[in-house]
Order: sequence, then structure tokens, then C-alpha cells
Amino acid sequence: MIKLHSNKNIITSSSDAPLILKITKKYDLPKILRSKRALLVDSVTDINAYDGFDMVISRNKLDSKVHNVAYLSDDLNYLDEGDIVRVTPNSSDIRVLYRVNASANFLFVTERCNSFCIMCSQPPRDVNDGHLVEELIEAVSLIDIGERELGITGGEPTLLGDRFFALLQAIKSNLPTTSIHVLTNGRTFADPLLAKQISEIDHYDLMLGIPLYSDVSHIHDFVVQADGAFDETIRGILNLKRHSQKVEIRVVLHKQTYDRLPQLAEFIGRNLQFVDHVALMGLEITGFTRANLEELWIDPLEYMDKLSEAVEILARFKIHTSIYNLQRCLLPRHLWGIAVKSISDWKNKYYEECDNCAEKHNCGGFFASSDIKRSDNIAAIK
Amino acid sequence: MGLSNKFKDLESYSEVLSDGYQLLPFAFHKISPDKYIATNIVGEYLTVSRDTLKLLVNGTLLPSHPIYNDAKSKHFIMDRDSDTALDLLALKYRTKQHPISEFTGLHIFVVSLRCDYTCKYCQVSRKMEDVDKFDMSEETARKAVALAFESPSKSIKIEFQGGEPLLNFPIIKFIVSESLTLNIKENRVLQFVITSNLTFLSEEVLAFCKLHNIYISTSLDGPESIHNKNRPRPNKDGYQKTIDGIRAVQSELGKDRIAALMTTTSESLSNLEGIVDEYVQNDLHAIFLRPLSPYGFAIKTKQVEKYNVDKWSNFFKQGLEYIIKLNRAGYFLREQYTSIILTKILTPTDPKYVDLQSPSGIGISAVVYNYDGDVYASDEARMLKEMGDEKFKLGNVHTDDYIELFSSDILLDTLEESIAESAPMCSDCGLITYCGSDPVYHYATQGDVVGKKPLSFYCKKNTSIIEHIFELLEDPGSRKVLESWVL
Amino acid sequence: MGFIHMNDVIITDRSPFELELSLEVYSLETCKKACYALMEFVSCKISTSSDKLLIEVHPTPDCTKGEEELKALLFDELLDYSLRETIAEKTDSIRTLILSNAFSKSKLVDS
Ligand code: SF4
Ligand code: SF4
Repeated sequence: MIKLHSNKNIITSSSDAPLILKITKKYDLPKILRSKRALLVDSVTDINAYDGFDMVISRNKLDSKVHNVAYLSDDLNYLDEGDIVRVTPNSSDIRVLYRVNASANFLFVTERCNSFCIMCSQPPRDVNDGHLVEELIEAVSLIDIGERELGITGGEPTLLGDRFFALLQAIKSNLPTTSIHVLTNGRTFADPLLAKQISEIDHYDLMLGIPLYSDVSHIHDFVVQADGAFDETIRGILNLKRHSQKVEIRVVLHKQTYDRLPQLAEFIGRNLQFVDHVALMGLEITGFTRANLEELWIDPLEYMDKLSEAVEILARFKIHTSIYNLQRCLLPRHLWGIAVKSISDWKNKYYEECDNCAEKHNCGGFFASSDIKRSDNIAAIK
Repeated sequence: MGLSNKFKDLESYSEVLSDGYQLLPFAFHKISPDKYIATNIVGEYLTVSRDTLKLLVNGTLLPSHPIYNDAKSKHFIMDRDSDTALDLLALKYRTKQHPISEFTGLHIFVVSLRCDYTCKYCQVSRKMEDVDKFDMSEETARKAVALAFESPSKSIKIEFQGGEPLLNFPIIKFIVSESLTLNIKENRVLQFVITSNLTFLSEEVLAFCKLHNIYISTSLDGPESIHNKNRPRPNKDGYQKTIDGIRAVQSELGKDRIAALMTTTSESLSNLEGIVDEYVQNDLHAIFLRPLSPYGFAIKTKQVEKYNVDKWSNFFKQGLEYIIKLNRAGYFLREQYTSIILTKILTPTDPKYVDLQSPSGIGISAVVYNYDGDVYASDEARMLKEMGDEKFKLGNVHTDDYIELFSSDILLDTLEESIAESAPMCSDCGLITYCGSDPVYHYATQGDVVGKKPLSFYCKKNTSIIEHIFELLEDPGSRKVLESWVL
Repeated sequence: MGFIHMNDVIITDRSPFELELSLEVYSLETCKKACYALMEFVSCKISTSSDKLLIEVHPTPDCTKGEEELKALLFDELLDYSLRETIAEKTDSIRTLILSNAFSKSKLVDS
């Protein structure tokens, strides 16, 4: 478990504006290449040698009178060549926007959302955070070509309107070989013009991950706490497919959704067979899930039959399906093949039971938040 | 407990449901006095009691009723909370209508009427002599191939039939090479099938089939005694020759390159397991339990009447039961007719099998070029002709062009008249999306293309098979097997 | 009114019987369909007078069912066909809408 954010840094800067910087350890970088770079050093020695870097980040404390130096909090000690950070001097804040060594990088573009899901892991806030996307567009221009995939998440990214498309375009222009995975509730694509607009980006590998929580509108609307959301999401998916966009359906498994899982699978097969992927995902105990734990938590073992049945139905419809976030020891063996090690490396952990588990290397383990609640049925696989 | 107070509960999102619902189009079929199958226009179904059906139709099904959400999800009803049902139904309807490649564009070439067998139920075959009279000429073949490529379908399947097609192997080679040449420009998905009794399966034939990826279809009616009784060959060695042929194809071309068909006669009825075992023993993984067709010699020799609907459907059900048992024991064996119907029941697509289509697939999904150049709307249509009735002859490759053949009055009228959606009884039938219309059959047996369905073997057969499939789907063990047969 | 041709009515030793129904309960169309569905067992002659429907039921020569059983069958069919009539009344316009959507030129979805 690593932290992507710390405000325990000590930063001196000639300006208060946040800086988007790419980490480098190459102190002999030619001067012409030093702008927008932060030189990462163990300790600051000869400050003059750092001329031209926008900032020097030191792992050890030293004289704080020098400008444009940050002393890195221990939490962020892992920073490495090529990582991209946002440094906000007046709040001692460093946020990691991109890590070269991450198994998945998600660009967090807004806290705003038009839904209010009862299990939201990132509770939305109605704030004016338009600067985030601008910073990310800048960050994207710093990422090295060759990155496999970038995720885009929020809040609801499409609420950014044109700036959302600008970000996609920036990724495509700067990183032509990078796949994009957008997590969206799909509702805004009920407007055919937006679906058309995204198709006009003409990206070679852009997938829209869209949640669908029930085969009937009233239950889906209840889960996302928004009337009419089901219809908008369905229309959104249809519009996106009309424009040949890739769509993934994401289903979070919890007490309010597990019961009709087979019916949902059947509904997807019958009505949305043309989707590219279905992800069936275990619950993360974070955000609103904590507040609603009683109404959401169910031991995955209790819904395993329904999950199995749903997977079989989707297979019959020849829909590519994966299971995310569920520990291998909870899954019947025939589902192992589609269980993905999905928990981001900066979030995951294992427990004692896992020590002697023969499948540990294939198992995604737990969210760190599983300390609060996890299955009673975790047991090492022999 | 409940949700934290920032959130509203499910009830408040369900309030609008109490305003009632709009019924969406569906039909139903009575399985037993208290069990009905309701089906919508895209083949989704609900099993309901008579009382529930009444509530549903009368608009009084409450949101708390256990079937409410299913009825909503499967688009039998639409409440005020959502109106995507209309878009989705339209979309699904279009998908159902859209042919998937498997059964489309079937062009049957009868390359010779001659045959070395003297099967008692055979409709069409002729004696071994008379080469000139009953073999297809190059002239005819060339014209027929050109016509096949005029059809719009993306995939073209050319099936060689007879008589025994291998008696005129040179013309098969000719047709294959003509088609391949044309296809350089046309770029269709091209497939060849030879339907043969395998007597004349020489090294040369095998090599040719290997080279061109030709699929072999044969007949296997069961164990030696039944097979030879049904399909007599002068030397009484038909069974052995067939088995040898199957083995040769399996080892030279591959096990997936051959399938066998069986025809049920009165002899078969009491030998069910033996027949199925014969397929297993020969490592065949598909079987088509077919009733005897009412055409040709079959009618003349009174073979059809020897077993009635009940006998046949009992045979079919027992056969299916045994086949399912074999599957559950680990031997994959698919019953083809069931698998076509299952695909219609369990998926959004329709395999477009000629006999289970409405409008009928004749002339559209399949067409027959006879040895003499006559073009028929279906295989049954040419059998009818061999009995002296040319009703479904569309024309001749030497005198008619594509438009004349495929927009002929007889074809278009038949297709239109026989649409199940407007046929008495079918139009109200709950099984209509899984069934079809078989105008040639009804013409042959009842003298009119629409047919009186309450008296039709076709209707009774399909009704009992489909009802039986629904019954099997309720049993989890059988269901698993059946799901694995979906195309 | 309409005489339903199924099998031509054949005079047999099985005696015909009559059923009288109210036109308020069953439509003529429903009645015709119910009789048609049972043509294997019976031939029917249907007539109407003001608010009444009269069905003259002739069992077919090889029908083995008795009068009571035939009546029960006929009533079952009548009930089912009137339910079907209700569905048709409630859904005909929406069916047309769906079919016209399905066959409209616009691309419904990319497949
Ligand atoms: S014991 Fe731990 S490592 Fe093993 S499968 Fe379970 S959760 Fe995964
Ligand atoms: S033929 Fe019979 S089973 Fe088929 S649709 Fe018509 S009435 Fe129904």
C-alpha cells in the first residue's frame, strides 16, 4: 500500500502556483531539457549545479532558505525517474499524478458527478475543480511515449464537456500508442452528439467502462440514486455502439445488486450482446460504502452461486467477462480463469491467512480498506 | 439500519411503478392447464400460471409480484420508470431477422440422380445406367454457379446432392473450380458440402476434399440391421461401406469434417439406443433425429402413415433423453433440431434454418439446381416434382435469369401466403418465434401452402418438441447440457 | 353467420350439440379461433343473433371425446383466445411502432 498524496512536505518556492513536474534523477541533464523537471536527490549539496530545473526534491532535510526546493515526506519516498507530480507549494502538497512503475495509472479529472451511488468509492463533491483537467493535460505532455494504458476517472469525467475531449485529444496526440480506459456512468452519452464527438477523436483503443447495476430501471436508479439514470445509461451505451466505440459494462457486487445478477447477465446478453467486456467486481470498503456498510456488505461466498450462474449466462452469449477484486479462495475453481488480479498495486494487501497460500501469486489480494470488513471465508489454498 | 440519511431507499425509486404499466406485444401457449409459456416477438419467454397470465394481461400485476421484475426486464411490460423497452425491442427484432451465416445462401446442386442404393423411402433416385439422362452437364453447372453468385448473401454454401453425387465426381470438380474462380472477384465466404453414401469415396475424392476443405455429410440410420434394411444396396454391404467411409473421412480430413443424418422409419422406433450408440461408436458428435419426410416413395409406399405423431414424438423425446444422458456422462453429442430451436429460445439470434423460418426459407435460404437445370425452391420442392407435381419449380437455368427465377409469382406468393404471422392459429401461437412455416410440406400433405395447423404433423411435431424443450430447461442438469448445444 | 370450414361437416352417428354464449363475453372472432383450434375433434357452425352466439358442435368421425370433455376444451380455448384478443387490443399500436423502428433505415447499433 503506498500513498499517492502527501501534504507533509516542506516546500519553498518563488511562486504559489501549482507546478506539474516530471521527476528525474539525472542531475547532468542538458539545461535545455530541465524545464518542467524536478530533480530528485538524496540531499541537496551544490545548489548551483541544479540550475535550470524547475524544482529540486530532496529526500533529506537541509537549509530551507533556498528557493524551489521540496523536502519529500517519507510517504512519497518511492518516487522514481519519470513519475509525474503536482507540487502545490503553499499547502506543502505533493500529489502523484502518474507513476512509471504503476500497474495502472488513473487520471482523476473531477470530483463532480451527476449520480450519487450508494457504494461510491470516491464520494462526489460539487466543487469547482476545473483546474484538475488542465493540470492533467499538462501532465500528459510529460509522460514518456510507450505507456500501455491510461485510465480516466472521477467523479464523472464527461461532465467536463469539451475539456474532457481535450484531454482525450491530448493523450492521443502525445501518446499515440497508449490505450485509454474511461470510467463513466455513460449518462451523458444519451445525447447522440456526445457519442459522435467521442468517435471523432478516432482513437484506436479507447474503452468506456460503464456501470449497470440491474436489469430493471428502478433498482439501477436506486443504486445510483438518480431517477432516469438507467434509461440514460442504456441509451448512452447504444449511442456509443452506434458510433463503434468500445464499451465495457461494470457491475459492482453487493447486497443490493447480487440478487438479480443472473437476470442482469441475461439482460446484457439479450439486449447488449455487442458490448466488448463485462467486469463483475467485488466491493471496495471505502467512500460511501463505509457509511452504508450494513446495507451493502454480503460475504461473497453467499453470492457465489449467482455469480457463477451469471458468468455461465454471459459465456453462452459469448461475451468476454472478467471477475475483479475477488480473492481466489472465495471463487470456485472454474472461475479462476476469468479472475483478474485487479486491485491496483498501491491499494492492495494480503492477510496472515495468505502466507501459505499456493495461489497467492495469482490472487489480487485485498483492498487496504478490507481491514474494516472482509469475507469470513478466507483460507489459504493448498 | 438502512442507508445513511443522505440516501433515498428503493421504495422511493419504485413509487412511479404503482401508476401501472403498458403491456408490450406477446403471445402465449398452454403447456398444461396451469402452466403457460408467454413469448415476446424476440423470443424471450416467461413461464407463468394461468392466474398470473390473467393478471399480467389485465394490467393488474403488482410491482411486488415475484414475476413483475422479470416481465419488465424481458420487455413484456413497460412502466413509467423507463421507456428504453421500445428501442431495445426494435433492436432485438432486427437482430432476430438478421441471418447469421451458418444456414444462409445454401445452394443445392443435384449433380446426378443415379444411385447405387435402392432405399425404400427414397424420393428421387434412379438406376445406375442412363448416365446421359440423369447427370448434370457442364453447361448446366456453369449457369447454376453463375446464378448462385448472383444471390446477395455474403456466404455461399454449395451442397452436392443426388442420387449419389460422387457418381458424377467430374462435375463436382468442375463446379468447385468454377466457384473458386468466380470467388476471386466476389470474395464471398465459400463452403462446399458433399452429401454422399460414401460408396465411391476414393483416394482421389478424399484428396480433393482435403485440398478444398470440403465437408462431408452422410446418412447413418443406425446399427447394421436397421441401416441395411432402410437403405438396401444390392450387395447388402451399405452399412459397412458407410462406416468405412466415415472412418476414412475422419482420419484423412478430420473428425470435424463429417456429420451424419438419420431418418426415422417404423423399424427405428424400437431401436432407439442402438441407433444413438452407433453414432457414439463412430465418434460422431452431432445427430439429427429426423422423421420420415412425406415425399416421393415415402408417401407412395405408405411409409409415412406407419408411425403417427405421438409415436414419433415419443421416439424423439426418448432419444433426446438418452442423448442428454450421454452428454452428462461426458460424451458431447448434439441433437441438431433441438439445437436450432434452443438457439432461438436462448439467444437473440436466429439460425435461419429453412424449415423453421417465417417467411419460409424456400428460395431464400436454400435453392435447388436439379441435374437438368430446373430450379426448385427447396429440396422438398424437387422431391414433389419427382412425384409429378411441379408446383414449386421456379424455372430453368437455361431459360431464366436470376430475376425471373427469384421473383417468380409462385415463390413470392408462396412466401407471402405462408407467413406464420398471418396464418390461422400460428398468428396467435405462443411458439411462433421458435417455429416457422413450411409451405411445401403443407402443400404436399394438405394441398395448400398455409395448411390447417390443427391437423398438421408439422405443427404437432414442433409443438411437442418445443414444449418438451421447455420442460427440459426446467431441470438444471438437462439445462446445462442443452445450453452447450446452442449454436 | 360464418360457417367455419375445417373438415367438411360429416354426418356421423356422434350427435352434434349446441353452445350458447353471450357476445358481450366472447367476440365472434374469438369464437371462430377457438373452434378452428379444435378442428381435429369438432366441426362447428357458428351463428349470431343480437347479443348471442350460437355454436353448433359436430364431433368428427374419429373423435373419441365425449360431449362434456369437448365443452371443457372449447371453453378453455375460448378463455385463452379472449385473453389473446385483449393483448392484441392493448398492444397493436405499440407493435406497429416497434416494427417500424426495427425496419427504419437508421442504424440502430453498430455490430
Ligand atoms: S488465502 Fe489470500 S492469497 Fe490465497 S486466495 Fe485467499 S486471499 Fe488470495
Ligand atoms: S405451426 Fe403450430 S406450433 Fe408452429 S407457430 Fe403455427 S400453430 Fe404454433
